[in-house]
Amino acid sequence: MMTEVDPALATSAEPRADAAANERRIRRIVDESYEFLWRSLRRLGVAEDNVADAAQQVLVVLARRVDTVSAGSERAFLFGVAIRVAADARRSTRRRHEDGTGASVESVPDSAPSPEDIAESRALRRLLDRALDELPIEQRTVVVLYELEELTAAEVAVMLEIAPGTVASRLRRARALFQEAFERVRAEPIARAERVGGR
Amino acid sequence: VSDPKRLLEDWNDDLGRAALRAAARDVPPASAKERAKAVAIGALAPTAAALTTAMGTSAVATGAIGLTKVVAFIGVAGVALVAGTVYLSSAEKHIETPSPTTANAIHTAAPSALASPTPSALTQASDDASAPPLASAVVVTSRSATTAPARAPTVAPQPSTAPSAPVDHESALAGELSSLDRARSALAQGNASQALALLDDYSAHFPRGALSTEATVLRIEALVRSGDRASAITLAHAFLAANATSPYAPRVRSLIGESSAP
Repeated sequence: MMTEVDPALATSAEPRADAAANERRIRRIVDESYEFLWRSLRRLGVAEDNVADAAQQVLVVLARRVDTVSAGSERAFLFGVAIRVAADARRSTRRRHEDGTGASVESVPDSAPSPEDIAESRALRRLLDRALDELPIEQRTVVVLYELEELTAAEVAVMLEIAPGTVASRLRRARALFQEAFERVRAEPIARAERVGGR
Repeated sequence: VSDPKRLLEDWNDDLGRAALRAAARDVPPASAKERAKAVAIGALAPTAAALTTAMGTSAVATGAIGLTKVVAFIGVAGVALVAGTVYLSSAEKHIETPSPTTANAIHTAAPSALASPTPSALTQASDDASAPPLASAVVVTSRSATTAPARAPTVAPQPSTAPSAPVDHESALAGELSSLDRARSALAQGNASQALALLDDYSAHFPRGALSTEATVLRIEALVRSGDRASAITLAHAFLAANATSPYAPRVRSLIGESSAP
């Protein structure tokens, strides 16, 4: 029992094995779910410039709690954290606007498009995001998961920890609100152009 | 019970469906995933070896995409790690640095998960900064996620989740949008005659465009601004006759000075 142990290795091999397994798991989760996480954060209202940082924040939480996340529920965990991180990002953006200390191109689109704005699809996504911005978070999440990520209703129920019947009713309401909001935001740039152009 | 049809199949609005498809094509730059992976592994691993691994990965990413700054924190507790990232180049476009409030938000994120006890040596990292564990993390912040070239040589191409079929349709819509944006921009700058010329251009290129309604409303506005009130009123009345319940109707009435009440 007099085996010499390097103090630096005194944590024993077991945690190292855990570390290796956890690292593999994190790699796999990021490989499989990063695009999902990215898109979810975007559609939950995180500005494009900030979404990489927000995704990192979510993944840091995952890494620190990976032992508590059961197999198969990784995306539900990521989405749950993403909702909170996105809410904070939206508040932060709103505060900056109120302070006049910054403007997000994404959240305050200007009537004069930048070259990026006219790139394919970007303007369309901007319309979509502005419509999503008008939805309460409960409706927004079901639109994101069902209509955009194309999960099944059963998967949405598991992910949001709500009853399947609730998914169905929430989705009906969410779609109606979303379509109304989309109609409205389509009309907005013209009103904005008039404001910018002066009277 | 089968799921309801998705809006993509069940929405009688070309622009709306195009927006849904555009969202499906919204993918991160290829480099962002590798950076995020390095950060997550850095937050996970307590050992110097793991830190080296994470930093090595980041260094590769850094070399590939020209990151502004890589910051490694060693021996700092938990999610405080994500705060404090700074940018070397102040001349560059400013991107929000994670603020203390953001870090606090992470503390509160998924509270049930954070609160659950985890005896594992790996998760001994405490939320309490007074008991710093051996946690380490690498926080990598790009100058701008959107400006990172997607062609980073050391990173495999992103698996595309985008269907390729609607691309032409999308291109046409994007073309319509940019064409109308130019006209709108001219009008916003007070150049109504240029706006009208651009709208003529739009009509010539997209005679049955998905945004023709928007184009008509814009034209009415441009006519009013150019002083051609008679033409504006004629066009407005034709528009209102065909689109009495359109969301644009109140706007059109207002443009020609009529009451909102029908």
